[in-house]
Amino acid sequence: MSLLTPLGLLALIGIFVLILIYLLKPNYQQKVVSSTFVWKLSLKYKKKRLPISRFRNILLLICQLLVIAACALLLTQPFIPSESNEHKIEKIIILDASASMLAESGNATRFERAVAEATELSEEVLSSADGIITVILAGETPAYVLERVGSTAAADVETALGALIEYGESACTYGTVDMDGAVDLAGNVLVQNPDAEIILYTDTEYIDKAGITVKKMTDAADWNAAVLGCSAEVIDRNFYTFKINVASYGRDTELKVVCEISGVNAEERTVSLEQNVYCNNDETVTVIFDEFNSDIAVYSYDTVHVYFDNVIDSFEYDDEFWLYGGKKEKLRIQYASSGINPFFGAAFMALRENLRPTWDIEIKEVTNGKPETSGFDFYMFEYDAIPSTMPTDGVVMFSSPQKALPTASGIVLKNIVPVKNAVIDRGNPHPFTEYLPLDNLGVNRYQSITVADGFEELLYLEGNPVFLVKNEEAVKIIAMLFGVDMSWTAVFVDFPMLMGNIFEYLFPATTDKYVYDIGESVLLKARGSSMTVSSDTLNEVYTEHMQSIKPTAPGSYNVRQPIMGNDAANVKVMTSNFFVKVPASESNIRAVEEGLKRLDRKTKSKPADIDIVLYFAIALVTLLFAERLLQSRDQF
Amino acid sequence: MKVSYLNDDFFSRLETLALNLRTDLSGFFGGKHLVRTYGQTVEFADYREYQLGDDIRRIDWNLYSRFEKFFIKLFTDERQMHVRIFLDCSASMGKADPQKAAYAVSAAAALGFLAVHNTDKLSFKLIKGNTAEDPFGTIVGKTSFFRAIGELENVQFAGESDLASAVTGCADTGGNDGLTVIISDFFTESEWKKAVDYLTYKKRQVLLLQVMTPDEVEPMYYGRVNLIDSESADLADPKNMKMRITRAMQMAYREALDDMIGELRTYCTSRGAEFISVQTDKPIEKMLFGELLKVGMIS
Repeated sequence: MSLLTPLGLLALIGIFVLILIYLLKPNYQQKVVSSTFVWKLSLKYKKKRLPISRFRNILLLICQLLVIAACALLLTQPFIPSESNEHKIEKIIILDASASMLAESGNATRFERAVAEATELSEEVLSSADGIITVILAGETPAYVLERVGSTAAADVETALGALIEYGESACTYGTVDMDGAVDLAGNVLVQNPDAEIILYTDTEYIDKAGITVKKMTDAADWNAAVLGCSAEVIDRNFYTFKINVASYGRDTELKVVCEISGVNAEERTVSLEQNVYCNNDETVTVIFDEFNSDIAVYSYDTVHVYFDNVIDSFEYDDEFWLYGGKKEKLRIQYASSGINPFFGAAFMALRENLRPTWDIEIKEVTNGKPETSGFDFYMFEYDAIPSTMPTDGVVMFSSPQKALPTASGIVLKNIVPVKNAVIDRGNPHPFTEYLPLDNLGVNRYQSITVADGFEELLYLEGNPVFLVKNEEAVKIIAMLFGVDMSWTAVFVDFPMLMGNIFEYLFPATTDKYVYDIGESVLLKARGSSMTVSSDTLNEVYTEHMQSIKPTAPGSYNVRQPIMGNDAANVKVMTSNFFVKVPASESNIRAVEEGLKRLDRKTKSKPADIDIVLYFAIALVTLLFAERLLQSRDQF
Repeated sequence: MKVSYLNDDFFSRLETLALNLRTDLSGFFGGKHLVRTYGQTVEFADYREYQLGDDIRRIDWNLYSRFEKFFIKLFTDERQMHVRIFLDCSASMGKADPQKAAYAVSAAAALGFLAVHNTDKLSFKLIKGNTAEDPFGTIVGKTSFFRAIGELENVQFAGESDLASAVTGCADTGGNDGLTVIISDFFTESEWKKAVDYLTYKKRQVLLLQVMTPDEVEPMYYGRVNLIDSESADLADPKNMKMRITRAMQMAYREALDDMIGELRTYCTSRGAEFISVQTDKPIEKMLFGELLKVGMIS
């Protein structure tokens, strides 16, 4: 309770006056009567009563004292101040946890300096009883570290901010941050207290600060030499041209760019190329290595490692770059047929062209000879060219078999069923048949079967399965029981799409590219039954055919997956790599951005103070009634 | 301001009334009150056989001729009574409320007027302390009565009074020759019963007239009060009393007063005396024509 007019308390002097009156008041008023004879007689008639009169007298005095006190309080105009934040000091601290905040100078990163300053500010604010602090960590997903804590939780604040320093690098992301999201979180606090001050500790220069106090954590000595990107391009003569983007932020300097290429031209050989480049004005400079300015022409490679020679800068996480994808895996296909079918040949050629960035497809056709049952990744057996034993190191596909299949295949042929332009029906959904039109796809003859254990039935003709798939870890069999020459299949787009689906599913590229930014999703496609992804900070096994991961640390990532080998005991392992780098925007440690998200600081209607004069007035009236009642009862 | 009820109208209204005294009183010759004894009036009362010593002139010869026995005629007797009025002149009768004194004086005057109007003798006895003063002597006739009344109005009501001592010590209380009236508030510790007993012993017809003010019947004051008795000498007098008057105390007062009046009435009844209690806020005529008629004291 507060008093609007404290001088009204002077009315409490009335209490002393009342006590004085009680002291000075004549106890008995004199009354002259003709005789006290009857009064003396009456004393014998006086009924004994409980001695409450004394208590009543005290009650009367108390009542009168309360009346005076109530009057005094009424004069002071008492009120209960609202829970307004008007007088509270509230600060909202946003800590930029982007990668650039890891730039180090003077044995402390920008982030550590920011946390130290935030700690100091928190202590200052919370030293006041009305102080309130909110700490928001602006990471990839912004979150409250502390939300609206007061001075009573000063120890918690110290602990939480101390933990941020302890976490060190892991407290920051290596990518960009969602600063708008962090500002939105601050906005949630502003709803409760529009007067709160937002303080952003960051290294980014914002042109429009949008009412936010921005504390720059940059140091004049900070500079960063960054390998922003590297690409290997085949321009016109089958040789790779390596384009490397580098920049120096915060310092104009000459950088020696080293490009180490290993596994050059499918040999155990490493070539180291160097080039000095002068970087100034924070501009990106492209360094090119090609057959003209290098000692060797590169048409294949295992890895390319790009780094600076003798450079010590403030931000080390973008000082090197790894490039993969310079050597394509070989995919061997055997097409055995008693009558070579040009449709398959055309389909395989189309596949080779489409999958050229990923695979080096080698096709072998076997017409009259005995087909091989090992050494290939994909076996196609057509008509009578059926092997006596099943290959075990690759995918086996039978097309319109006209001869008993190997027992290990699990399929027993029955007879050939002639039909007249029968239309194929779709079976269970499967990646193989995905997007196939199958409209008016007529077939004139198909092979019926009696046994097909463990197969998925994907297409039907007159209710009989005509396209079956067994996709197990050690056995992958595809059986197409109708010929492309006895159907409309070949003349429609369905067949090439079907083959494309089969290869896309069974021989996928592990990643769609070889360089990712931090925070970017990487979709991993498995060829085998599992994938092991490893890096300096990650080691995970995935069993899904398609797995999306989001790397959180820069560096090279290795993906290992077992694939079918010559026998079940000796499984081949396929290895692929990709590189995750710090986003180029974070390499610029002197970045300037247009502005922060502007928050609508709605002026919250301040809750009104509660005027309690009325209540005291009611109390006063009640006390007056009570006093009057006690006075009147005094006669009894 | 002096209060007085006494004026010509007041007395003229009393002329139609007369005191109705007991017939067993003896009195004096020459009055108007019929008594039980036979006298010399012209109003026949009875016959009685002649006895030796009777006046032969009173023999009824007509009866003798009829019965051949001597009978004498008896006539009623009328006597003159002596009314003595004791007026309590203590301070309690007038110091606190002059109207009470005026009322008491008026009541005494009214009763005295009724006496002299009927050719009775009258004496005013002013009780002061333990004596009864008789400043006017025996009053016979209206002339002396009004002279006495004129002085009676100037009587000072002060000090205490001892009814018993004053009445029993009075040299002229009389015998069975009339009425004795004691006008007082009876707020005294004196043994008024002794006075009554004494008077009845003297075969006096006795009337106790209690005069009270309304404030005495029903006190309207309350709270912490230092009650100063009008008869007290000073504030330290033990007659004064400090008390906190509450409604309960007022009820107790009323109860005590009722008991006191009841005791007066009961005692008077047991002694053949009459008692009436009047309040000064009621018209004095109501007392005369109401209360006194009710007890048969006047007719």
